[in-house]
Amino acid sequence: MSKGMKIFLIAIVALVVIAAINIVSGMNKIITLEETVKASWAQVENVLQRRFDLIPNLVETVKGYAAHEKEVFVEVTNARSKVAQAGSISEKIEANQSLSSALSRLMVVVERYPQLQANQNFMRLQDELAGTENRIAVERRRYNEAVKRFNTYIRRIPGRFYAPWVGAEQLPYFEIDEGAKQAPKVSF
Amino acid sequence: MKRSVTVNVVLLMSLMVTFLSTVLAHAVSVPKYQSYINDFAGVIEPAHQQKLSRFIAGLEEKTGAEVAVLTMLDLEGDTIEDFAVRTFNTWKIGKKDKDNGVLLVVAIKERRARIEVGYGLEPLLTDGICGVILDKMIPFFKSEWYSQGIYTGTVAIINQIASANNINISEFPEVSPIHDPSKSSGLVKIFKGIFFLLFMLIVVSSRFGLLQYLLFGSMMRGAYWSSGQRGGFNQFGGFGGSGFGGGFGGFGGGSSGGGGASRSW
Repeated sequence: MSKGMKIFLIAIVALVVIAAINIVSGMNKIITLEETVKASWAQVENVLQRRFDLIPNLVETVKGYAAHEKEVFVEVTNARSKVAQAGSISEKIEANQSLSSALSRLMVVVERYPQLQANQNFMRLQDELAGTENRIAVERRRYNEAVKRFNTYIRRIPGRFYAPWVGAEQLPYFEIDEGAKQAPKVSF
Repeated sequence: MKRSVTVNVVLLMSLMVTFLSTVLAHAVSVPKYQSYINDFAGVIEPAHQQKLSRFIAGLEEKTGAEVAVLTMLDLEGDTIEDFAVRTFNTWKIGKKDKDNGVLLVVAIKERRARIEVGYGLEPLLTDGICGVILDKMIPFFKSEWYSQGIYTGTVAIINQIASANNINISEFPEVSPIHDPSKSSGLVKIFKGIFFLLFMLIVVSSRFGLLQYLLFGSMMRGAYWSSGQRGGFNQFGGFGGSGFGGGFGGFGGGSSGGGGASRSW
C-alpha cells in the first residue's frame, strides 16, 4: 500500500468517526430536549391538578352565598369533569382552557356578592385560586419554552434528519385563549 | 417531510416574533442583588433594615431558608407576578436542592405587593397564608408607612418558617403563627409528593443525558450551548449556574414556580 493511500484511508476513517459522533450526539440532544419537555409538562400537570382539587371546595363555598346561580356551577362542574376525562396532552390543554373560562365566569358572578367577598374562608380560597393560576402561567411558559427548543431543533438541520430515527415529532404548545387570560385577575 | 422554503421562512419569522415579544414584554430588567434587603425605592428605615437583616441572617444560619426583600419605585408596566418570579429565579433564592427561598416585592407606583415562595416552602407558606400576611401589611401601605408594613410582613414570613422548624432567633419579636383554613388534604399532599419525585427523576435523567453529551462531545458543542439549552436547565433548580460565578453573593440556587400571593392597596 502506498503512503498516499494510507493517508487517504485514515482520513476516511476519521471522517466516519466524526460523522458518527455528530449523529449520536444529535440524537442524544433530541432525547435530552424531549425529556426537558416531559419534565416541564409534569410540572404543568402538577399545577393543573392543584386547581382541579381546589374547585369542589370553591364551588361549595360560593354555593353557600349564591345558591341560585345554577348555570355557572353546572358549567364549572362539567368543565372539571371534562378535564378528568382528557387523555392526550392536546385534550388536556383544550379541557383546561374551557375550565379556565368557566372559572373566570364564576369569579365574575362572585363579584356581585359582597358578603361572600368578606368571608375569611373564601378569601383564602381566592388566594389559592389566584396563586394556582399564577403557577399555571409560570409552568405553562416554561413548558412552551421547552417545546419551542425541541420543535425548533427537530425542524432545523441537522436535527430534522435525526428526528425520524428517534421517532421525534412536533409537540403541542399550551396556548391560552384571550378570554381565559382574564381569569386569574382576582382584585382586592 | 419536504417543506417549501417559504413555509420554513414564515415559521422561522413567527418564531422570531414570538421570541422578540417575550423579550419586549419584560419591561423591567432584574436588578442586581445587593443584600437581604434590596431597598431600591428607598422606603425602609435604617432601624427596620438592621433588624430584618439580623433576623434573616439568623433564620438562614439555623434553617438554611433564605428570605429577600425588594422594593421598586416603578415596574414600568410589568406585572408584579412576572417580575417576582423572574427576579426569584435570577437571584436563585433558597438552597439549590431545597428551593427554600422567599421573596417579598413591594412596587410603590403600582401600589402592589407580592410574596413569591420557592417550591420547597410552598407547604409552609401556602398562598392563603401569604394572603393573610399581605393583609397585615396593606393598612401600613395605605398610610404610606412602607417601612413598618415591610417590617411586619417580613417578620411574619420569618416567624412562619422559624416556628415550623422550632427554632429561636435572638431578639425576635413575639408573633403567633398563622394557620391556613383552606389547607389541602393529605391525599393532595401525597399526590404532590409523587409528582415531585417523578419530576426529579426526569430532571436527573435528563441531566445525565447532558453529562453524556459533554463526555462524548463533538464539533457541535458550540451550537449546543448557544441554542439556549443552558437556560432550560436553569429553570429546574439552577443546574446551569449562570448565577454562581456572578457578582451577587448570598443565595444558593433555589427556584420558584409562581407560588405565593399578591395584593393591591
